[in-house]
Amino acid sequence: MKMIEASHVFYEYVQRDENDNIEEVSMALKDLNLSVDKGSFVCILGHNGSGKSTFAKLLNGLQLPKEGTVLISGMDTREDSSLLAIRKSCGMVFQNPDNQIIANVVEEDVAFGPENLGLQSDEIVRRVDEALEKVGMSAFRMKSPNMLSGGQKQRVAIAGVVAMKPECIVLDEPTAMLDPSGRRDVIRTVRELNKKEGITIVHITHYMEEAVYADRIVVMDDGKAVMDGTPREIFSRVEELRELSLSVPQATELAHELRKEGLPLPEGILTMEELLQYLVPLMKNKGTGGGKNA
Amino acid sequence: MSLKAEHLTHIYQKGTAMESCALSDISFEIEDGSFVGLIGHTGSGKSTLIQHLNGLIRPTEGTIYYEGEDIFSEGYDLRSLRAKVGLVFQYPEYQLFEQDVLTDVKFGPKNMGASEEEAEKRAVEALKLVGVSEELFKRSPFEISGGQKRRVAIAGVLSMEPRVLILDEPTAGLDPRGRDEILDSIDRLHRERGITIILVSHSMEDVARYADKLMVLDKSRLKFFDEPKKVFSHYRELERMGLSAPQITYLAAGLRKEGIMVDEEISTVGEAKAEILRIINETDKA
Repeated sequence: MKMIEASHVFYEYVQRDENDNIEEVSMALKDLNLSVDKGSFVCILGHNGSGKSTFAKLLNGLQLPKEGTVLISGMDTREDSSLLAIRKSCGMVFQNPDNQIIANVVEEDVAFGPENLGLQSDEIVRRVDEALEKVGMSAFRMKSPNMLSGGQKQRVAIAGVVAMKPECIVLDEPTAMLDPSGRRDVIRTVRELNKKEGITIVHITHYMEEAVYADRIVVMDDGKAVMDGTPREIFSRVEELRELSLSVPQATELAHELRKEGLPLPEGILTMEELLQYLVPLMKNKGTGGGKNA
Repeated sequence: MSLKAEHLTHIYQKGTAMESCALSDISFEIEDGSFVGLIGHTGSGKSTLIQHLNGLIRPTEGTIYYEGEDIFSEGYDLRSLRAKVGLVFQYPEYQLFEQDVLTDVKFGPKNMGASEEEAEKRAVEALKLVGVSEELFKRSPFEISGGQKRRVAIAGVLSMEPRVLILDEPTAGLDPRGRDEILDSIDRLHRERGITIILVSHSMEDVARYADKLMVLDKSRLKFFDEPKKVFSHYRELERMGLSAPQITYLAAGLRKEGIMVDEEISTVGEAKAEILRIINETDKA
């Protein structure tokens, strides 16, 4: 079954003046069709204003489509009676960790969701233990969240979602405010949740390097999905991505530039390790294998 | 001689159980016209440091000099310092408040006592410098795109005609083109106007590309203050501090491990391209 099925989705933001007259209507989503398989890891790219965050908010019923349907595990987000089940099955993590943490102690924060479900206290404890374990934050369970780094806070926010035992986690630019190690830790955590727990991941990001790890990349523009494929397929289309205000990972860009200079490198190289594998024989097999520095 | 800190220490909530040291014994001198990248893990003290530089917070110990004068000395005009040392906070677009873009940018100079005409002249110039087109001048700052808002907010600080511009992660949350456009306009301000830039960033690639000096904070201490290439050569140490080197640095290290002696100081895509082609062409001739 599909985790997410969005078909012919339209969404508009309406701006009104003081007298409640409509001033401006902007279409954020225009006939968006996008489905996500259970257990997959999908990255969504797109420039600011392309509709990514609007789409994310439709996935657990924070916003409802104006036209079209959004189904989460087959449940329609417009059905009031399904809303609780949808929110349990599809959790969200946002950009700013400070806006998502509410308690004074890490474990209390993670327990907030399960407590709201009205679970028994031993079940709550078990879920909190498991969730903290899965994001690698067990050692911090009695700490105050404001003593944590940005990346650690973000992992606590993820644990809060994990404690709800979701089938799917939607992350809207979870690393935008983090330092390099915080970014690495959050990405590692999300990949593990996908691989080990089989949780479906929808990851929205502006960092092209992070999209390399996805099974599939969807590029949005003007409220629609305009590109859809594996990272290798998508990042082979360097010029098209630039036109959409996006870029490619630095390894891909360098390979692309070197190809233009006639070096026999394939399109769609994604990481520095891959590029290194291609470059070493090219650079070594030529004559002495060293310039003036050798 | 522009901005100088001597033995700067800042302790939050000193004397209480919550006492925490944000900056500890930091000394440096930022020369006029330089482009400094400020990096460090979250909580390393970056934000605390930049707020000292235009006198928003007082050091617990130590002194800050702007053009040779102690900014916390008796009678020092902090108000005019804040016009000369402009600070753009994180997510500055949340500070937009006027009904249209131009009025918002005019607010600073008017507040400093500039006439209506003078304020408008400065605002128009600042908006042009950051690449905001004239059609947007009369639009509400709330209905333009994220990247445009960010630029309007930066123009708001530029209209004060600062000599030093400090920006706290000005590209966070922007798409790649928006990021490049903001950084290019900052770079232009630096090159064409000679404005001293202090750029706080979590992107090693960005500071490698633009900064001529890097300041690295780790757990409230100043660990490095040197050319980016020199700093990035300590990438193992940077990783221990929660940072990293630009990706190209790792490629260079990988090639050298294979015995291909590329210049180990390359850190941008352009430099890597030139260096790889140089080696390939050189060995061709051999």
